[in-house]
Amino acid sequence: MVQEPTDGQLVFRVRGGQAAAFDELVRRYQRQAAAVAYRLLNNRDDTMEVSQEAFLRAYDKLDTLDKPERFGPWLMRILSNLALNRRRSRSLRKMASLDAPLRGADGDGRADWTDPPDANMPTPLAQAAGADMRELLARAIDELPEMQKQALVMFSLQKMPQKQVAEILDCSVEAVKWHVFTARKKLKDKLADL
Amino acid sequence: MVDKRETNWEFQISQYLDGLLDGPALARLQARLEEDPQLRETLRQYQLMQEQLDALGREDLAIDFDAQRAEIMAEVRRRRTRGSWRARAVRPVLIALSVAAVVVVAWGVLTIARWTLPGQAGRVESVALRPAALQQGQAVASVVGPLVDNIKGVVSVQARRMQASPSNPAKSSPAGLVVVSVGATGQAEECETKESQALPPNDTDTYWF
Repeated sequence: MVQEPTDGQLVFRVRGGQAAAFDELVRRYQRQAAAVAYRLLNNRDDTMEVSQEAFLRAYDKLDTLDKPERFGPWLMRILSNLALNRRRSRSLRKMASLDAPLRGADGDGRADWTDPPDANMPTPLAQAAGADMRELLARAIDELPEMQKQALVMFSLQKMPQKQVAEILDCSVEAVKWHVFTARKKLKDKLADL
Repeated sequence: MVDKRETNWEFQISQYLDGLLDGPALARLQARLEEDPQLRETLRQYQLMQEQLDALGREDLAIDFDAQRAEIMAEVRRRRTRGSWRARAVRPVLIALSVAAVVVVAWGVLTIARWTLPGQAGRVESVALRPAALQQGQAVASVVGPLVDNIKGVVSVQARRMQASPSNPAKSSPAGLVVVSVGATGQAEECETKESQALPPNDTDTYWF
């Protein structure tokens, strides 16, 4: 059985001039990169550009990578920095108010998790099971402070190990736990206010 | 001392959802959930939200990853080609610039040494007087030394204030002070021409100082 080369081995091959080895690194991480970029930017075009730029930046700076085995976290750090810069530079349009999609056809009001249940209407929690709720969540995530957003996206959405997230965010594992919790709580409170 | 996080039930719920709670901490949360319906509702809200977060994480982004990878690799190859062409073109230029820089720095160091080290001007090792050229009150000397070899044409020497005899400068004693000027810097070496008396006309001798 042929064992797949590790990230470190691939990095060494790229440094040795084998461009094809970089193709394999791209294949391994492009989905994760795109998923993280998309959640950080909430924009598909920006996602494509930033994730592509992250790989090219990584290629250009591959010689500066001290621990080749840590290519993944290193790439994600490049990606998150690029995403952050993109957000800042483009001053993304202010997101629409979270309550707009929850208004009914008659435009009468705000849904609230504390509203009394209506037999004919799905509760907000039931709505949470739907695509609308995911859209609301996505917008709410977009409004989180950067560290909380990155921690939540990488850990809770992309299921990256806490230690790896800590490495990418350059903070402790405990800090990651706290960022994730704070992000979740804010999301919950924000949705409860609707 | 009790960690505040241990009693922050929402934080404990967050940990629980991530499967990071076990042992006594898990038992404490379970006991608390048993007795607190509000906390159970909170847990339920977090669970529902996490389900949606999981769904978001699984969402298909409708990206053609093969095409994206091909695009990335095409750019990588372009950069490799450009990089190697640049390296080939730039290397000789860099080498030439390095050599030129070394020469300029060496010349500068020598010049500065000549300018800034009185008594070491040109590190003159010897003076050759040409008695034939002696005239009253002046003499011409040449310098033989490392600087002459190293910096050709830069060093010139003039001996002045020679006490030459007006009647027969060649045989007279030019004993006195010889001022040797090196280059255009004004730095000077001085020496006594103690033996210049013995110089035959049109001859050259060396005075070490």
